[in-house]
Amino acid sequence: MKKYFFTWMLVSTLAWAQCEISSGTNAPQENTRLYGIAYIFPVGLEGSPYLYDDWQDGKILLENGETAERVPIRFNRITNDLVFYNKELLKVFRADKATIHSFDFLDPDGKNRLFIKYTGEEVLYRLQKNDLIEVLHEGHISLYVKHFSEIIASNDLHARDKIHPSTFYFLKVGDQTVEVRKNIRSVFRYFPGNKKEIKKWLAQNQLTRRSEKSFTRLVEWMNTHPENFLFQP
Amino acid sequence: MSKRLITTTLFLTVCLFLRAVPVFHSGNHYLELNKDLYVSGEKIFFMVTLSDQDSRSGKKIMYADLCDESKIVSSRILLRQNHHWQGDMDIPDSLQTGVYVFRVYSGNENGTPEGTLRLITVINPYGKNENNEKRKDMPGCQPWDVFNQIPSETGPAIKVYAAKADFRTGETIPVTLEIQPEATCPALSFRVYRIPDRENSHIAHPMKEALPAFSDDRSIQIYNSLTVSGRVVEKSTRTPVRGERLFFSIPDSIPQINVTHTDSFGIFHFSFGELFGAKDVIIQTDSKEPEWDIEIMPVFPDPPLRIPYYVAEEVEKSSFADQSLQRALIHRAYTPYTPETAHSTQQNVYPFYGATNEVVYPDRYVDLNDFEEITLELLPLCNIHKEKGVDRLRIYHPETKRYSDSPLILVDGVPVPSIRDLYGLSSPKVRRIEIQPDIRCFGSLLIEGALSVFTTRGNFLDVDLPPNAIRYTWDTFSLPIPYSGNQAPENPSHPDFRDVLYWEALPGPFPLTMQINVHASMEKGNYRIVAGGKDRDGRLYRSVFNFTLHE
Repeated sequence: MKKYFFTWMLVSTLAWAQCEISSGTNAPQENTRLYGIAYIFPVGLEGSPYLYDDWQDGKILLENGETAERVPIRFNRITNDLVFYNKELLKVFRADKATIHSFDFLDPDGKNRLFIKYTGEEVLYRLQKNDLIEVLHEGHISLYVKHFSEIIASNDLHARDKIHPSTFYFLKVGDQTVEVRKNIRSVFRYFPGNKKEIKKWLAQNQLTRRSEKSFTRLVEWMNTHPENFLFQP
Repeated sequence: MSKRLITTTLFLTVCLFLRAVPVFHSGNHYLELNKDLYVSGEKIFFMVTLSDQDSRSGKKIMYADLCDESKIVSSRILLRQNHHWQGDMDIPDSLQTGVYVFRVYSGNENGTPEGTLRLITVINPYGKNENNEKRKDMPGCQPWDVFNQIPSETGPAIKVYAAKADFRTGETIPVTLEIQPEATCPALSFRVYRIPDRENSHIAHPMKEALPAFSDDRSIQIYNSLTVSGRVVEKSTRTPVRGERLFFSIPDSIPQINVTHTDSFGIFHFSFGELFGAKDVIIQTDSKEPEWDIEIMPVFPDPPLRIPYYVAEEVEKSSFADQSLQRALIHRAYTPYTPETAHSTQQNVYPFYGATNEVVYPDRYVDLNDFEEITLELLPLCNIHKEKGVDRLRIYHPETKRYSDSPLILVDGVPVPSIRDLYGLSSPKVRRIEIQPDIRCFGSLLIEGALSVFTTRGNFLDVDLPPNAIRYTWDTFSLPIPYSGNQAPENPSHPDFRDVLYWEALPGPFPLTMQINVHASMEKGNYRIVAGGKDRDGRLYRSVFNFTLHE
């Protein structure tokens, strides 16, 4: 028994010493500090106002260059707000857009979804400055999507207002941003000189003309030889 | 049983001593100074590289200080730039003639200071040398002959040379620096400086056992980030205060705040990214009762207890030292005084409580005598609720139509515990008032509305320091000032008596051959070119070339 006691004592002392040694050269400090405003949960609506119904782990990059990792986040499509759960305060806040640069939904399968704060020129009422939009592809030609939901008032006195989700797609080339529909045909309008080329590529790759995946792949392909594609807004 | 007890005691002792003492001859650091002999009032320009910085990836802080016996004379905290650290340090005007210790160090993986040191000879222009004279009579002290500290050549991997060994004063000297690929130094120092005409050799080189003696200081911890550490203790019993929240603020027009908590030993740490210059810092605890003391831990290790060297009579009375004094006086006479300004590369543009549209400028209204009147007349969202002798600020949120009963009250970005602290502020003393009615968070800090007052002076001197708070000046990172002595004075009527013709830290990677044009001054005499550095494995590379300037 005494032997065990001594062994335990020596091992624990060694562990203590190691802890003392490996206390490291980085001072303990608070994690990246997020700026948030008290969030008021939407009530009395039929349907979910969020991009994902459940909380997702997210990575938030702030304008000051700091990064907050593994923050439970949600994206409110109605108000175009990033909502986060403050683990220390046990409260939900909406992120102050002035402080946000971008954020990622961390998908366990590795398919992260990157959202940025739009800072380019405004496209009518559809895309405003500081809107949070998803980046489908970033390059010489960029493809963005804005997830939006509008509230449709119910005619029935006893029914709740309905949430109607919609998505708007945008192409950005240089400083110019234009809205496109989720249809390859709408790309022809801005690249009239490349119509045949695009059609041929679609046929070769057996892609449908109305899917987001095809759209993204097309822009990816166009970015491999951007000099061949003349943007005519 | 007794054997086991002895073994355990021994083991515990060994474990205790595993917290190592500071080491100032680690061999990993390479330090180079711009010259050998300084005059009080001059600046020391220096550069440091760390040999094994690849293995210590992310090492970014270097500390430097100039020490006398039991006293740190001057200090700097440097940020890594281009794989090396470069800085300058003022030698105070009043520093006596003597031998001083210049240390550079960083924290090793345990946070223990590790670095290198250099003995520096300083001559006081006004003849103050009492301490130096005392040391001459002390047993164990020996003369330090700066003139005999000749840098050694290390081999062909690095080679510095000029086309000839004689040049005219005022001439441009093309110097060639050849660096072989094996000399993978992160940075090289390059200096061209004047040396005495005849180098003495009768004074002995220092013996190893006569190195400066340091105290056995195990308490110091050097972090790899700009850190303020301290301890909160009860004022009367000195027992540590656990789990207390502390605020760190710097009076500023765009308020920022740092929050931390004390651990079970009452110790707290605040870490920062890049802050430059001297900062006026206020640290306070969240609780204002009972009375606590906040003790700030030193960031510099203890200075040497003893420096067993003195400036030899031959050096002090030499014509070279005399010329150095005259040169320093001429330089001072022709150099306009420029006060040191705080550098800043980072601009905070957003207050921690968020931007607000509720901003009031009291100078646009009739003058009011105190802040109670200002609140009543100019701040429609705020009211002061008085109950049982306690004055409490409340902020109304126009959208939620609710009052916030415990908003944050700030003066120049520093939290104050009560609205009563502001009553002494009249309209002329207040420049701007911001009201944040939203409930917000900033990290783990919940802000239930905020009233932020900016005084005209902007330095938090118009209100009393809150209880359980300390205020002090904190020296953060120093940005190196560019060395201006590589060129002749711009004004041709100014005399050019530079003794250091060139000083620069050259960041790698290097081409095989470099040519550097050195502009000779009007001071004739012997000069030395030294180029050197250490590679990542700690191998020293150095090349020396001597030449003469004549009329």
